[in-house]
Amino acid sequence: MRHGRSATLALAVALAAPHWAAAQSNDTKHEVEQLRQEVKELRQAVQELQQALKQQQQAKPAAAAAPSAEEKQLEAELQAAMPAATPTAAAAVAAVQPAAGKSSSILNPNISFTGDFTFLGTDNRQLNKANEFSFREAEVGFQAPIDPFARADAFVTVGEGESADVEEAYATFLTLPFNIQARAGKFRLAFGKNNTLHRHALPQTDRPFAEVVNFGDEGFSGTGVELSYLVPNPWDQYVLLTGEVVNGLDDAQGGGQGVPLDQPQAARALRDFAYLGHVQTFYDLNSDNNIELGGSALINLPKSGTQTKIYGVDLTYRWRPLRQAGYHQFLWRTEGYFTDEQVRDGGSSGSAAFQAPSFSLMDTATTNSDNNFNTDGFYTYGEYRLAQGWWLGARVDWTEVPAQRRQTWWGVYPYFTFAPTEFGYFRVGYQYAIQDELQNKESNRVWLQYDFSIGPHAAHPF
Amino acid sequence: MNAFFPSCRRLAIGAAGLLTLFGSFSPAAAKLYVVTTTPDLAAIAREIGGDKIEAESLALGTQDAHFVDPKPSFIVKLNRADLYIKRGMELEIGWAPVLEKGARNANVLYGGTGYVDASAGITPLEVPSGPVTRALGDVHPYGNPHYQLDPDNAKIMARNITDGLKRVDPADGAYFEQRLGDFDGRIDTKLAEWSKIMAPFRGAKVVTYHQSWEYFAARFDLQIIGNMEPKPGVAPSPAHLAQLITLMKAQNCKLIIKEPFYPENLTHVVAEKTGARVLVLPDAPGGAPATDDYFSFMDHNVKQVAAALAATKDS
Repeated sequence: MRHGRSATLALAVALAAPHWAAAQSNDTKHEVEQLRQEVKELRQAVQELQQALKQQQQAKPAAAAAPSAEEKQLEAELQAAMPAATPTAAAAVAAVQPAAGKSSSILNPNISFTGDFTFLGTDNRQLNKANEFSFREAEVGFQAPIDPFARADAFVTVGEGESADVEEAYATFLTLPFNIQARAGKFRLAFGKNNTLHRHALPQTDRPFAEVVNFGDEGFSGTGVELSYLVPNPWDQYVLLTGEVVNGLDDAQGGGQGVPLDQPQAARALRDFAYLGHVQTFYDLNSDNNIELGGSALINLPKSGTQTKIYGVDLTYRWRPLRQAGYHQFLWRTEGYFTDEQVRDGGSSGSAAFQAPSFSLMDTATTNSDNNFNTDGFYTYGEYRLAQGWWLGARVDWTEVPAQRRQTWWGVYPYFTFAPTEFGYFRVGYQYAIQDELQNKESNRVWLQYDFSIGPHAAHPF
Repeated sequence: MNAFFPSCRRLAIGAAGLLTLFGSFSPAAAKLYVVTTTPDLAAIAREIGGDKIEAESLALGTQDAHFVDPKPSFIVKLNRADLYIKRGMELEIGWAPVLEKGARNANVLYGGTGYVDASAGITPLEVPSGPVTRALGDVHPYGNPHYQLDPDNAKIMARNITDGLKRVDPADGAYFEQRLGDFDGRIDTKLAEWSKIMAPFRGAKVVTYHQSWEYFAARFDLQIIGNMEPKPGVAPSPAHLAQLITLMKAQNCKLIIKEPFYPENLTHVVAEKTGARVLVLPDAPGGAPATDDYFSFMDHNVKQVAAALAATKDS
């Protein structure tokens, strides 16, 4: 019975197979035909696209293609139109601030490199590195969140002929309550505006004289802690209070912490630390104009050595018309320094960060003993953005030298900055300066500068 | 000298007083306060948030969103914000991080409940392939961030904003969802209308100042044959413009589109040499009169482009 059923089934399959095969064959033929047609259409489409692309490439501006006579003529005409149309200079602050880019790899910090290349031409051979090229500074930056609560920013700098130094390396604690933020590590002190800027972000090639005689030609970085408080107020005005404590004005002590010493050190008292207080306010006059006002006080009263109090005020006015085509803008900034030093124990100037600026004195000034010195200084500069990449500015300096009698520095410094992109700029400036303690007091200086940045370097503070 | 330390104590007491006085101060917050980097985001947030939110953009519609001054007054706004919305794709990389760092508001930082990247889910155009370096100009490694000019993308932006609003105000979730549905419906209706207006100009050739109209062109089938900028963020050079003029003449391109914040002089020189029209169009709401919401903004742009292309056809 079972065998009989199987035989019937086999017979049925045998009879049906040719019809099924024929049907399959027809379907396949049809499909193949369809595919053939589709391939033909696709081939045609590809050819059309290739042709179009070829035409486009032929027509498109190609940097390598030699310009035709007509193009050369056009270029000459456009060149003539350029001066009125092109001038620009991104805010030496803004344009020069390199923007960040995509992180090169997951979980790695953003790594950037900035270079500062200069030439100083001068008739005063008492200036360091006169009439020489200088790669003044190479800066490597590492920036990334540490965890959901804090981020880290570290900048290592190397000056030509100098050893590497940590310019800044700090953690910022972003999620503290009561509008408080904290920093710990080594950072540029929040004294005024200019001191917070890295060298490549400076609006001029050198730091203002008043800053140099108080903090040195690289400004003042200190190791310690900072607390800042964004003050809530009914007017929604920006009011920021900052307090910092750092080791002192003679900050840089070598050697490993905790390593045994031959002789015990003098006990460190609270007064040996340097304390800084800073208040910053900002007012939008309207969408195009704003004013920023700040006040700073830095106090270092060590048990022995020089007692230093430095007070500062800063005022910035910005005009940036947002409803006007183009990139015109204007910035004017002034900072005043008021220094009170009491030199004791035959010590040197307490403005100890005042170390031979690269362009200034060949020999460091000595000080009188048993003296109180009250010295003042200021700088003021204005710069106008002519067009997208061009800035024109001028700075005036005047300062008394702390812990010196009747010695002043003053100068005028017009300059011109061209920033083709945010990632690099050229600057040329002429500086006329008088520095009393030099044998040759007067100097004429021509500064040439090119700064560049590669990699994702976060924007600097406003 | 010692007088300094009693002063410190007084200062500390004063600071503690300030903390007590102002620490508890917060403005009456009946509505959610939404801060956006660009006006298109604020406009869409208003569509979704309705009367439950107050939305404010840091950049103006007339402003280049690549280069906004990170003013301290913006830090105050971010400090108060319940929700912070960014265009993303690194459009704001040069200025927003400074504000975020200073905001002292963990909710609006990346990873916080009040942080919205509106670009999530957008299909990016012009994602650079191969080595991405600044030799390409100021490129955006994640793709072209001007996606707000495609109305279809507005629906994705609205979805992301709705999700953000629901995170910070779950109680009004249904309200936001209902408004999202309404917004999407209106976008579909208007998109059909805008597509009809632009249909006669399919394949029309245009030049733009910056690479910001790619999504608009893709949506309405326009062909961008070149840019005034030789590379993104790089100012036009005479050599580049000479080649661009040749190209425009060869391809009979008669329209240059630029945003209000780009320089006019050279654009007009190129237009004069090629007989092209210059159309100044906003890339965000508020960049031209009566374009404060997303619909009027896109309406303005579509009708202006259509009118300009029609005029070039006639001429």
